Amino acid sequence: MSAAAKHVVLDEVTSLVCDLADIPSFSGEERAAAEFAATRMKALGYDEVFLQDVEPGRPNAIGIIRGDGAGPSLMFNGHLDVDPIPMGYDRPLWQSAIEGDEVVGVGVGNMKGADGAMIMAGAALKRAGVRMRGDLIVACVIGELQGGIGTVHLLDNNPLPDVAIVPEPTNLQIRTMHAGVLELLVTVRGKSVWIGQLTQRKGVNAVEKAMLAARAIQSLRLTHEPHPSLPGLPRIHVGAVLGGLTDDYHLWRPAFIADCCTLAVDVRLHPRMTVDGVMRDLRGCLDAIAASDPDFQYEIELPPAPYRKPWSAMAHYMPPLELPLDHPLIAMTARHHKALSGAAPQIGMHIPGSHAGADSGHLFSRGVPCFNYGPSQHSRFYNKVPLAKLDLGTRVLASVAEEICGQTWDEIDFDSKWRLGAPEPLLGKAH
Amino acid sequence: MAVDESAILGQIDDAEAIALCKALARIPSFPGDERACALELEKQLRALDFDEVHLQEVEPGRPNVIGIMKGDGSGPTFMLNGHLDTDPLPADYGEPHWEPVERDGKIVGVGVGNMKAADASMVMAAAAVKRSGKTLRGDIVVAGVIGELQGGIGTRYLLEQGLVPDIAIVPEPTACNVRTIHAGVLEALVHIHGKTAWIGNFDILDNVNAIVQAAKAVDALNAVQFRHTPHPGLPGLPAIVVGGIIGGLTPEYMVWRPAMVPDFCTIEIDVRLAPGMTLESTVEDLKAALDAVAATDPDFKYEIALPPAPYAAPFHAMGLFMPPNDLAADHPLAQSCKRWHERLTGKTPQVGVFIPGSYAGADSGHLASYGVKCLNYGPSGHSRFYDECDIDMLALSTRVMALTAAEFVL
Repeated sequence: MSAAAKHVVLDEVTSLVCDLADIPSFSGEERAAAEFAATRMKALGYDEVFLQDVEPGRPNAIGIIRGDGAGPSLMFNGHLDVDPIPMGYDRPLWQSAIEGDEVVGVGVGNMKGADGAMIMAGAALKRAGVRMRGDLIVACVIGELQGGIGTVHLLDNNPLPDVAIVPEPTNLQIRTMHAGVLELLVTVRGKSVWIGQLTQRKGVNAVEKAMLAARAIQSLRLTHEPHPSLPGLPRIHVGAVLGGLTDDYHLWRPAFIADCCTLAVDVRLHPRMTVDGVMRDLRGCLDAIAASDPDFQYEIELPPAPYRKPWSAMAHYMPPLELPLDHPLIAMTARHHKALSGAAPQIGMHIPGSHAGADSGHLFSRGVPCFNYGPSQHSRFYNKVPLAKLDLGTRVLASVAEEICGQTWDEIDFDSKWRLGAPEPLLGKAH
Repeated sequence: MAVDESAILGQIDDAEAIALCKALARIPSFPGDERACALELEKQLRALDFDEVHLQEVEPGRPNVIGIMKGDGSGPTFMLNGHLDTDPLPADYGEPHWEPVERDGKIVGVGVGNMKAADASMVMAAAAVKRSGKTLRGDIVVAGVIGELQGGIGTRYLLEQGLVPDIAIVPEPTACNVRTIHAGVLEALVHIHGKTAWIGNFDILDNVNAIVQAAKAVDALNAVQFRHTPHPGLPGLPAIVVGGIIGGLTPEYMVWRPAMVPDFCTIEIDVRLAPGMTLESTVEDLKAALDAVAATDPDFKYEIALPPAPYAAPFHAMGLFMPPNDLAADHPLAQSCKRWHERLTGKTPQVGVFIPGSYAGADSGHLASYGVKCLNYGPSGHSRFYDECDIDMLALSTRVMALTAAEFVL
């Protein structure tokens, strides 16, 4: 066992996870959670802790354990914003608790359990007195559910780490690949007429036309070469709709035919697909409607367009991840996982996790070798983490951090084995 | 008692009605925001020496304005009822100008057509009767009401408060025709239930996309067969349109997380009832159409929410079902109105159905449901933006309303 792993105390991790999970932090409201994370990292002896405003009142919380610069840096990156709570969630809100062998609470599964693990992994390094050559950066970011605005801001304004782990829910599998995520708006235009004038004036009901578009999108088969590991990708669906009068979607006067209706569409691309290709398919299917219906008029808005009221969806296209399976970070992590658990972790794709986007896509698109390795798994409410996984995950993260940040460039042979070539720019031009 | 026509007409100065119309149209008063406009009307009524002027708070910050010219109690109460709230502006209206202008013989400004020109006209009609110097036997009540577009919540409120006249004119846009018949209006919500799952799981977890289900509902609603007796003058009734839709996660309609399969979608519909149709039969017919979808799709789950449900956020639509009006064309009110119109213009107005106005609901429906004999006779026509009124028509409606009212209250 690594020195750092010995300094992981599960009770401390669970306590941190529960405290963090009891602070509401839906996207846009992460401030209190970020301040809490920063305060806790300071108390744990991190060398530098700062809040970094991504938007007014929405800071990332960054904690750094400094190395002397002689070795590679590692980033742990976890988001603070939590999923919306769907219907049917009947547990108390913001009152997390240990239930049996799990921590249960809003947002624990995605990903406050993992946030607690990465913060405490850093603390363990400090306690173990590891001689730090490279920096360990623990980034608690905002707005991952909005396309990763926190991570994009972080990467735009700070030096890139040499490697990274984003402990999204993988059930402690080393997830080396995941989807790209494109959220876009399809707006259908109509012509408003008052119901009493339908016999005299021709109207075009934007809601009816949008339903044509919704059906076409739901049955759209996106063109692609199948990815051998990700047969479930690509996929596309209609995730929200709003239609009424004018671009402000007035709903208070249904006596007038709706003249504007917008569909929010979510697309998952496999790592070898391009946004250009998706857009060609999408336009093709909508143009086919228009070809047979001259009243069908639409426009497509790409990110950051969905990132405005009332949508507040994604501000960025989230690029996919596909780290080569022979990258040494994978073998190193697997070795620690096996040493601490007795079993080798699964490596590669993870279903359904590989259908998610994550901040790892942003890191990877900038050439940072990274993957996902986190203690929770996918569930309907993303509200739990098993204690055993939390404990093991924290120890593995601590061990990997000790091995990477505790060695010099030469000792780890970074330049010849670890660096990636910059990946192909997959986003391409949108239009 | 015979009305002294010249005594009344001599008290009408059209410049006053035009100025009042502009004063009202200068103030935005979309439903919910009528307060400033109501306060302006209150001020104007006081300046015109109404015997009583009061504000009647329907909801906090949303008053009706009531002005009364008092009679001695020996005659019927005559109400002139006009709404202060105005239609939304569709996408192609452009930026609204809040300074009404006179152009090509018309007053043009937001809300002028429905119905601030008429509001001004009815106020000046009441003032003219009073100024003619005769003792009023019955009261003339001028009601500037809020929330007509929301189902007539202002008028319903004043009726519930006991302000029930015997006779009323509601000068909705009829281009100075005598509209004795109009549709009933039902605005309702159709909630469609789905079952959410994250997009990455939708092939693994059981889920139902509420928007896909809503598309089926839209088709079914557009094809619904309403039981009714066709009215020869009203071929456009019954009618139904889908006026809005919102769908996302949970009944709070979170649209910010399209990665989740939407589990709740609401379709907003507007139904126009033909005379003789009832709310009950209409709802049964809607259910029958949707039940037919459910019969072929076990995942199709819906519920219909009737007023006041559409009045809740985010819809802010109708808080009430608006009953139809069907006054006999030979009723003395209709005949009086028609006769004065003929006398002043030499032409016979339409009496009965007026297209497209008879496809509208109006506060006259609420008045009728309280036993008030009422009709619509107003100066504006139906234009696409309801933002204009012919000045000649405004002058005519003021005179016809004044003379008709005089005939009943003097």
